Amino acid sequence: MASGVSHSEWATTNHIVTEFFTKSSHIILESRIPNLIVQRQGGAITSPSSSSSLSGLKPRQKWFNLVLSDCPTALQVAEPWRTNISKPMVIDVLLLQTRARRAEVHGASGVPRGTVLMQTHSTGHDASIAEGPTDSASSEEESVVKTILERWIIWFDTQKKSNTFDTSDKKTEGLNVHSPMSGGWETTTVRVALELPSVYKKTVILLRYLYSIMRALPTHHLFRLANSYSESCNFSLDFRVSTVASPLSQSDELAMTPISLTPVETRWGKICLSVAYRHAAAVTALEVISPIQPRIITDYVIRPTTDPLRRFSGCSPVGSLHTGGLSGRREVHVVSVPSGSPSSPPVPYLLHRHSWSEDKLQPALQIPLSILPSSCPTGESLPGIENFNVQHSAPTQRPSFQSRQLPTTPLLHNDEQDVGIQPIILQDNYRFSPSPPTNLHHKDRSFKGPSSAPVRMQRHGFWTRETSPKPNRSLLPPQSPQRTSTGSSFQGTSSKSRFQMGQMQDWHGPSFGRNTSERPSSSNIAELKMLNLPPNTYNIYQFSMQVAADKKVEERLSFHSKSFYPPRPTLNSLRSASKSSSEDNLEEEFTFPFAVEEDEADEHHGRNEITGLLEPLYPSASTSQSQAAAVGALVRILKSASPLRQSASLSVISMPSHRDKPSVYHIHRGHGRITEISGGLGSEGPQVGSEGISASDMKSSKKQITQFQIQGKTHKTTFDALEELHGYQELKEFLQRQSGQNPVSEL
Amino acid sequence: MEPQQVREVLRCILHTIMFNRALGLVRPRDIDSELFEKITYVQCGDATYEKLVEEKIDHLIAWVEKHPNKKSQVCLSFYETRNKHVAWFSNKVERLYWEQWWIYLNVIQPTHMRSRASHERPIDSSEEERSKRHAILEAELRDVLLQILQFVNEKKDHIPAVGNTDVVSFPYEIAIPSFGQSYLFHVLCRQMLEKHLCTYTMIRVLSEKLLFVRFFIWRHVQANVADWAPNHAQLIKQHEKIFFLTEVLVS
Repeated sequence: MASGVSHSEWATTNHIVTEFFTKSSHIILESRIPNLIVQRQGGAITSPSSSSSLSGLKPRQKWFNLVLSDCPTALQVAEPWRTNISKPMVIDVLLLQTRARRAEVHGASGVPRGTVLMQTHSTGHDASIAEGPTDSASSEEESVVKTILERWIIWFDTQKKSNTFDTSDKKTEGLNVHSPMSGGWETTTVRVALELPSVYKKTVILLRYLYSIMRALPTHHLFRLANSYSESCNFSLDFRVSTVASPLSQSDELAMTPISLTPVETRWGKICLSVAYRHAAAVTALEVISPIQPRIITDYVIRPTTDPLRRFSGCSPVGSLHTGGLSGRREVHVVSVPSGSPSSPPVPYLLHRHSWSEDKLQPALQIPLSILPSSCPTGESLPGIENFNVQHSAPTQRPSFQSRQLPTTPLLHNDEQDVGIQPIILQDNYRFSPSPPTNLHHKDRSFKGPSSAPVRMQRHGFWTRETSPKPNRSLLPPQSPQRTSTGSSFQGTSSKSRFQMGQMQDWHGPSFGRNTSERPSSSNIAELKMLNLPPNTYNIYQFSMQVAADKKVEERLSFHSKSFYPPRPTLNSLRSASKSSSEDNLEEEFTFPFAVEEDEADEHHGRNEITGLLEPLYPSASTSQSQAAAVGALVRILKSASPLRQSASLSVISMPSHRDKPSVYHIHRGHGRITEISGGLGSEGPQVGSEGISASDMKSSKKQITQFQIQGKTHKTTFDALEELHGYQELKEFLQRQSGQNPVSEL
Repeated sequence: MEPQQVREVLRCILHTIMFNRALGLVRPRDIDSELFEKITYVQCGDATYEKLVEEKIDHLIAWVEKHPNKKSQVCLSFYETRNKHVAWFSNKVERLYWEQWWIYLNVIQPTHMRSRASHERPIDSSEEERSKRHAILEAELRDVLLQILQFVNEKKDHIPAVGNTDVVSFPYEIAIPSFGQSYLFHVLCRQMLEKHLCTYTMIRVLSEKLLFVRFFIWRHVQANVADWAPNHAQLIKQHEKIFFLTEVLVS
């Protein structure tokens, strides 16, 4: 009986163990390998969450009071252990990272993907280990990276390991202390009452624990991801069942944490379960899920209206810049192109349109000009420009300019080819935005030069010469035909000379106030930086010039690409356009054309009107009047200027006897006679064709002079006044000589 | 944790415990936590238990809302019922708790909601803090679940035999803090003392009742330690007085 009881118990225990192997493998594989529970013998799909009643369950499903879904794979995997529970069941959960997934489940037979390394024999001998199909795949497997995520070991330990704490005779409860990594486990438990119900209960609890721990371990998250994104996953989970635990690498051992479950003791052994799982961080690192599967849009159609160049169309400054630089541009844009390429888009901040009324110019002036004259070597600094940067014109200086219709000017551009410095171009609608002054510093310093000029011109209205401590003629534009440009009358000789003279100067920017203080009269000579302007370019200063100029002048002011147009010189040049000027003055140090200097006044006869007109202008300019005020003053001067003596007919009376002698020819206006008065005529007496000079003649000459004076009073100019002075002086000398000779007769 | 996290945390823990203690025929149901991405717990599938869990969680949340920033605890107890000798007042069904699971909760009220109207920076920082706390809570919850499983794994022998075929094999109860209940017992003690102080029988009854009350109080104190702490000392004093009086009277 006892043996019968024991046999039955043994059979029951064996049955429990066998079912435990099956159930545990079922739980493990179901919780780790996707799509195992889907398949089912007969095609029906069951899931653990199905709400089917428990009554229709198979007896095997009711084992351990844990109803699971059908999993034929698990059944097949556990089949060898149905007949032999002596061998452990080692289940390795593998992470397969392959490029080409080979997620095959062979046919409907439910051959598992995993590898069964154990072939059971009917004799129950040790099974030989055979490599399954997945391992034997040649090229495909070689490209697969296998990583052991978990290792589950289920075994029925029929051997009892004794230790010093073995109290097997005592019926006491104790803890099972396991040392998982030692290859086995050491227990200090005491034999307890081994009843089948208790054993069964404990196995139920153990499997509950197993089921729960399967959901608590980090690998379960990978399982969920693999289940959810089976198509987009670039990894797969696989398993490997064996009877021998393959040795783990040192790295794997370090990366895995062992857990030994409390074994369930039976009379014939212990049902043991242990797990070694990879850390959560390592598992997380293996998550390489791309839930969004990239796909190729085959029906993508590029809109015919899509034109990459069109993006520039909405922004005219950009477009204008982009399409080739400054030449031919009709619109004025204030742009600073730091990059230096003609096609480079302008600095964005410069492209904003601003509807300023008065400050349009001002920000423009602040915009650094990343442009250099072509002749100017890069890196050269222009002190005047720096000063220019500091001083920027007040907005009140410009109201009159804003309404001017200026010729279109190209964008500022730092094309170093031949355009040279592109001054700030203004138009009615400024298409620029203020730039921080620091931009100037970021730009090539060689670009700074031209930018200063307009500002100063705005401020003071005219250029003044600044004495530069370090005149930098290298910054000057080259003496090239570009400067002596053709085209407009601006390119005319006189004007050209003016401009070209200005070119040679170091560009310090006008410091009007300072210079005028130094040179009240002739100090208003600015060192002009002749700027090579592209066609249709204006600089700011030209605005002021255009205001005062007539239409013809304005036309002449229209830029030529190769002309420099300093504002003030422009005006002067316009006025002296009819005057003769030599190109030799180009090499000279530029003097302000309106500067009232004796030598200049003598040299440039045509300046009389202009000089006279502009004389009052200098003080006004020197006193830092606004340019508008200067223009107004100029207008007044022009209006109040004496007309040219065009009605007078000039006749030159030559005196042969006195031809070698210096003679003063007085252009006798009004009478159409030229009276020659010569100091040297006393001895010989003038042999005037018309009149001779004698005492009587002296009287007559006096009368003539008097008449001349009377006639000249109404339209007297400086020149006339000087002539009169000379006449008086000669007359005086003549009279003195006469008195010396005939002192009685005079009296 | 925040109030909205209380429900999910309690669900995870209570269901995990129950699944490991429901030794009846169970069809497990995997529930992926909505709040915690990497946590999956298992339900035993017993509708009664699920309903009770939801009710208790609702009561707890209500209690937490009334007592903000106060620690609370939930107790899941498994007991055996034992019939005691029938006395006057009883039908005693003694409960022998063989396992109690105390779940201590510290619910904090989100304070960043007040600053939502002000500026964005505090909100961004508070959201970051919330996410951090959420991650910490998730990790702690996972650790708690592992601890529960470890305890389940280690302690098996105290579990009594399965007496029925229900899903949940053992009777259980879920206790949550309740102020009203404690006050009631206090009032009951007083009333009894005032009304039934005359006769010996009444004293005996009173003593038994007091014993019961004391036991009940003790149970509730054990179950609601934080809640009873301020009142516990007073109650103990009163009970000591009562018992002294009853002993005197009896003797």
